[in-house]
Amino acid sequence: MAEFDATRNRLTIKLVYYGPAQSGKTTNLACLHSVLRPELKGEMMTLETKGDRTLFFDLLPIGLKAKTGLFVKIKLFTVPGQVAHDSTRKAVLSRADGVVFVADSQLNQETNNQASFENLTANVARVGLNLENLPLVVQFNKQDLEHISAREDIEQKWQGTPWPVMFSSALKGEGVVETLRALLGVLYQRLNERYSLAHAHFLDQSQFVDQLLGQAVES
Amino acid sequence: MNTPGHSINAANYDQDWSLGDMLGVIDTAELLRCLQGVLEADFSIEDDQGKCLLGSSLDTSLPRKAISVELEDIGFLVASAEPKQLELAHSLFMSQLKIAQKYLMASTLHLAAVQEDFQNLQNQNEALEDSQRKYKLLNQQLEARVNQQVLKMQQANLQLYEAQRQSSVGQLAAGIAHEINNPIGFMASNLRTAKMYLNRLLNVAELLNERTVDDELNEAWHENNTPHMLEDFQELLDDCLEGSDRIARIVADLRLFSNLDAEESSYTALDSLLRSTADIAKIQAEGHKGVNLQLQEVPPVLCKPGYIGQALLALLMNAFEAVSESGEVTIALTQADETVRISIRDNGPGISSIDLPKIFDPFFTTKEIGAGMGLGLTVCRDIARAHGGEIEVHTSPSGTEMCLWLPLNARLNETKT
Repeated sequence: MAEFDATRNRLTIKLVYYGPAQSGKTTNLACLHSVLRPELKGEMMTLETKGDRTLFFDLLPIGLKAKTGLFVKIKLFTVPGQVAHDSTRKAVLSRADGVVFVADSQLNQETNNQASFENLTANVARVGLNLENLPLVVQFNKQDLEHISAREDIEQKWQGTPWPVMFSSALKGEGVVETLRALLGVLYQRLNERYSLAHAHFLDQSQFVDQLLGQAVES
Repeated sequence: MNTPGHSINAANYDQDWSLGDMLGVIDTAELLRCLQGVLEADFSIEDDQGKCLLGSSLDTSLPRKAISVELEDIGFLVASAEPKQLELAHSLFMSQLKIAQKYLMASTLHLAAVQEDFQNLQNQNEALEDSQRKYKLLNQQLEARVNQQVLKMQQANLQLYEAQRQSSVGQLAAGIAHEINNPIGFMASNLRTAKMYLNRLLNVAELLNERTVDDELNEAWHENNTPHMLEDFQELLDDCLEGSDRIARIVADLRLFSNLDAEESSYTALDSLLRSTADIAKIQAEGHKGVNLQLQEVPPVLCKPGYIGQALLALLMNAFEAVSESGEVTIALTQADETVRISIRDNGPGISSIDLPKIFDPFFTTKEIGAGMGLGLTVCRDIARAHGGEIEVHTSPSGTEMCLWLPLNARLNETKT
């Protein structure tokens, strides 16, 4: 739930990177942290983990200032992917304004992807969000690996859904910014409907996205 | 890091934490000592409203460095110190603050997750208890139903046993009555004839008394006290006749007994009575299976079920005996206006036109002596009439139909059948 603080002229947005364990959610954030050049970029907070596993969450704040002085702060979170941490995952997901579903492209991960996506839809409902209204982008990560599902198969499988499907290699920094760009595009539409960003703050979609991404060098 | 001094219960992990929130989870005495050591001067940690949270309140014109968390300035470090010292102290403070923020966020999130897990467990527990309660209830209901069924079966068994017992007692009594009735019949008849003969002999004796025909004969007549003997002979025959009459009455009583003791009237479901009677009949007919039940639903009929059952059993047994092993017996129950009609039809050879007028007569039987009661149809008709009903016979060479009519609102004739 986007939070608008009128007295401080500040809009706080929460985006969540969701997905099965070790699909590259934290790597996505780390990659964004290193390649983004937004107007305002905070430090990335990672909570110490054991064996590459996120126990609670990672957090990367980015932001922009509109001409009217409106401060838009976007907090990017990751959830822990392990099945056992469902309550934590649910708590992290609550109040989200958008979701990137990071799937693992490897052939042997199809079941995990599906289980995690079903878990996402279940948790979305449990925290009181509506999947139909929630900006969501699906990212198939680890495209640099061998033994991965064919893009055509993935695209065909997701064709009937309303969600854009992106391909990435977070380790190599490929497709990560594109994924966030796609999500910010959908997100802008929602925010503009509610807060009249274009009208009241002279902030159109490309300005919104570009200022947040800082025209990062995309490969 | 110390135990947090303030409550984080109602907090969201992803909220914006204030400087005060974060200082609350830091060991400020230790931090104060370190900052003083680095700055070697008075200093103040102020929030974004200018309120001093740590150190001592200082002049606003002194050198200051913003404390920025998540892209926003949430406070300032103010000190009358060299820029290098200020920089160093700021770094020290920020590193502590980051740890505090991580701690706050992680602990708040953890708390939410634990509460969620606990809530889930509680819900599961409640669901479990609920289902346990349901199973317990179901178990109880099941037990009650089983008990009910057992009781029903016991009652049905008892009824079956009782009906069988009544039937066999009736058969036995009727059989004995029949067997005794014949000898007692000719005994009584012969006794009457003997009495007639004796009367004639007495006439002769009187002549002998009046006249003296022959001394030797007279002597013999009186020597044997013959007049007295003849008188006694009469009494002997009278006693015997009285005895045979008593035996005949006992036989009549046996007939009554075979029709069971007086029984209470009750509203009876004729279809189930027919079913159980058919079962008994089948058992008695030994292996005869060709029974066809065509039972309509009719209202319960006020009757004495024992009597009606006995009548039906007799009709059924007759039908079974009329057909061969492969023959068929059809039992139909229908309702017509204010009467119910029980039809028992067989496809046997029918009743001959000679026998037909006699079939309701007591002791009339076409069976071998001892095999049949000779009372069956008589009793049946009595029972039907006692209930305000009637028995009809339709017979042809291709079979016989016995119809038992009973009025729906019977006014029972309370005289014994």
